[in-house]
Amino acid sequence: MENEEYVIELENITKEFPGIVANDNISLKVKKGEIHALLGENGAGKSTLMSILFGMYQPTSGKIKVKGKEVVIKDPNVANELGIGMVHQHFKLVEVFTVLENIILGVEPTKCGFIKFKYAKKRLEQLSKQYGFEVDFNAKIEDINVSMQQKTEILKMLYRENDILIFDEPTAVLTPQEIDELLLIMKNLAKEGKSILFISHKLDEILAVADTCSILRKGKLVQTLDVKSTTKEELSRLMVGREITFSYSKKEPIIKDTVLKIRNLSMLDKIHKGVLSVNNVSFDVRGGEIVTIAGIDGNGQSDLVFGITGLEKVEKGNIYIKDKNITKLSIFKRNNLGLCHIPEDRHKYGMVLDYDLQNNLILENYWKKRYTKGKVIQNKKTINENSNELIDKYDIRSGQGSSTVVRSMSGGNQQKAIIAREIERDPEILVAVQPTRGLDVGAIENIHNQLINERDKGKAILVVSYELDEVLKISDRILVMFKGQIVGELDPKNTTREELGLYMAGSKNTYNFKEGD
Amino acid sequence: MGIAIVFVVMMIAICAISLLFIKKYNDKILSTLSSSKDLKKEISTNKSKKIIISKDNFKRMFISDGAYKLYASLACILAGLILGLIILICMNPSNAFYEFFVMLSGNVLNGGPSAIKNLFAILAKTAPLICVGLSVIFSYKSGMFNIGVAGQYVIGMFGALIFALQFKCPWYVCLLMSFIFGAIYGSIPGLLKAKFNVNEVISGIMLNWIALFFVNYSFQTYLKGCVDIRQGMKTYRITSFNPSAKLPDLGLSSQLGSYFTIAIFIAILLAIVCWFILSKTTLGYQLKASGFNKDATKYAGMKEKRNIVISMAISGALAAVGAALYYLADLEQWQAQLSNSLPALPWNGIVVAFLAQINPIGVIFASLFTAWISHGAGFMTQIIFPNEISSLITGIIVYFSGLTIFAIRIFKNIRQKRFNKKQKKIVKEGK
Repeated sequence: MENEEYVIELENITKEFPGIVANDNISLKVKKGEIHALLGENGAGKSTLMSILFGMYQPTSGKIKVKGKEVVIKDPNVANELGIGMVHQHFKLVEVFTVLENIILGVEPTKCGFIKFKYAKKRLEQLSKQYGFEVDFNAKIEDINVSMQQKTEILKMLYRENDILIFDEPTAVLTPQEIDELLLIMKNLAKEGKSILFISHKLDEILAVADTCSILRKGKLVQTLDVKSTTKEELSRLMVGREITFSYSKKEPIIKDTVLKIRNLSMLDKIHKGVLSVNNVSFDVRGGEIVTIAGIDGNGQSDLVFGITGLEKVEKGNIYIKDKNITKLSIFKRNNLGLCHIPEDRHKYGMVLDYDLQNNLILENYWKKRYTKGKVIQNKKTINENSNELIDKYDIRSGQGSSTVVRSMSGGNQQKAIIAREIERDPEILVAVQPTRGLDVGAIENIHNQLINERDKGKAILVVSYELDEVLKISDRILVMFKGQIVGELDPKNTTREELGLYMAGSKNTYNFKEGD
Repeated sequence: MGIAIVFVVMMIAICAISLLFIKKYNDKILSTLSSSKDLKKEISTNKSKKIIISKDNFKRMFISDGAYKLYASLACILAGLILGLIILICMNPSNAFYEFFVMLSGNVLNGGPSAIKNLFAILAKTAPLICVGLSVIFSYKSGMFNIGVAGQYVIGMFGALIFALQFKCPWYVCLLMSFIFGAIYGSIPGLLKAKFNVNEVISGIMLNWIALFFVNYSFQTYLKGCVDIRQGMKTYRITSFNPSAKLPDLGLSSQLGSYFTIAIFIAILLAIVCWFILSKTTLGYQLKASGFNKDATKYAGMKEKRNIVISMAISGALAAVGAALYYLADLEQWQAQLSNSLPALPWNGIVVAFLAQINPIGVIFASLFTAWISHGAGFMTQIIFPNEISSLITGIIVYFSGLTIFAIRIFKNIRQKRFNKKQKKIVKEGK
């Protein structure tokens, strides 16, 4: 009875969407207590495969066996009954409910119609002790950070006594410390006999935590291999289909005039009234260099960018682009001065998800002569041409080309589209916040190369990143931000991760801004 | 009786075919991809992906999104009609069918001597309905729900009537003034939303009542000259009081009945203009973008607050013109005393908009259907089915038609299932 040791068996799963084959004849087996990683580029079909397992899609053909029995998973409720739980990339939580309410939502223990909160809380406290969680059950979701929200999601699965757990890119939203914590939790869960399916494209994490790894490429299963006997290089080669360089050969920067000047900038915190989230920040970004703002998420980086791009009002201080004071200018005027912005939240700011690709690629330029007839009427032909051009140039993949609705595209390709749009606007200063968040190795390499390319063309580039690897790899100058202030300026060649870490934690402060010539 | 059935079937068929063509045409413009040239390019650039699209354009027409929207609309209409019929059968089985077909025929399809007159009476009621429907659509597309359409309608009526009765202006001035009145009144909830983030639904509802009581107060006091006190504060008939303000009939009213005016053409023209603005212009691009995602429009540097006001102003103006087309055609007079509730017609604008799937061209047909049914219900025999019953039946039919968004989901599910089955077959045969 060999079959019994496998908790999940997917046999020849094929899923076709109109215009695209998302999964092509994929077979997969997961043992009890195993952490099975699914590795693949954006759009390789990882999420689709897991959605099939979780009952959100029906496979076009193929069989699913759970604990040796063939099942049809009609919807997530069936999956739940079979013990399958999933943590989605974008959490499914009710923002105004407490952690406790969110966890018991749908499976509330009741007595005469009243919810037995105390009973639920007791059980949850047991669970969190067992697995080493620290969560405040009475806090509201909107008040707690992303890592806590994720723990809530995990507890939700444990509370429902799921023993097959699917994690869809769980580390994409976490800081390095939180990632370590999560990986530890996952190992604990596996030790307790839970089986974990772990979708990721971060090779280090897979090497650190997974037992086996299945690699998908363009909807097909490339290989399933034992993680212990593989290397980072092999994994990335299998995933992308070619060799990946992990370090870039950057030319020495040719520094030009100052493009962006920030002087004594202060911004008010949006949530805590009266507190400054950006406190008296001054720095310069010159043409031909990439300046990276490093730091742990939530130290004022987002607000700083909102101030520069005009999405939020500035409390104090001034911003200059090429000596023109833009502090009070509208976003429209800033855009025309050559400010380009790759936003942190691509769904909220970067795209109109219900528009098709070609309309998204002209989001800031819709009024330009090239795309209009007589200023009022849209020129659909040039809009389409522009989009076909960018699709070719930046390798944006989608089901139906220019007229694909962006919502249906994978995250990586959405990001590629935004970057294509912003770079094609020919920036003076490009502000990129987390430009590679949630992307796979191949796409990250591509985007980094694009940024370095722009730098070599003499553009000024300001990157905000929470990932140390990225910071060290691409920047010419690193500024570290802590509690709304810049605490250090470092040269990536002469610094170490450890030193950066000290600055990021706020235990060192050497920044002293001097007005340049 | 037999003729009536044949006519009804024909009417539905004609409506269906014309709607289908318009939807399909619309679709084609929206997705330039449907031209096969682009398709081939797509396939060659994306060789790695299998693209399964039926090349048969004719077939595509029946499975396009637009076509499915049409099926959903028709299904809802049909469901509403059947439910209405069932209620009639429950009340009086022996006469139900006959009266039902009387209603459906609207005294037009039975080919009686007054058929043409009735047809134009229906069209006269269709015109304002198209306008209020467009009003709802225009704001909805830019992410606002204009529930103040009734108030804007009342203000539009007010604007048209004071210039017709008090100042004795010709019809085009009245129309223009009602347009301006409506635009100003419609921009109020827009301004409140843009400046103070006041929910447009709440301010809209309040402004409805403000409009109603303001108008009634005005007619009772300083505009006394416009109302006939002996007739219970009804405004004077435009035809007798100031004929120049009546919408022109091009001299055709003697042949086509006194209801005939150019109102219907103005309304259809407005629908086409709306469609053009929304799908072809940069303004439409901005408005739709802010309807989908306000933050992204802000990020892109569009003036999102100005856009809110513009869209609400246009929406208000459309509703007001609807009222002008109704009252300047002299179909009815405003009763300044007893009408302490808002008129029903603008509310139907919401229904019509959703029945038309938020499509400015579709709203022409949706309005025609709604006006047709309510007109036809007037011909049901009063002794068998009292007036209230006919209103109830039309209400059921019309509001059932509003469920199209629900229906479209069902139809799409069916399509997906069929698609899956086909794929399975293809996969099996391939093996």
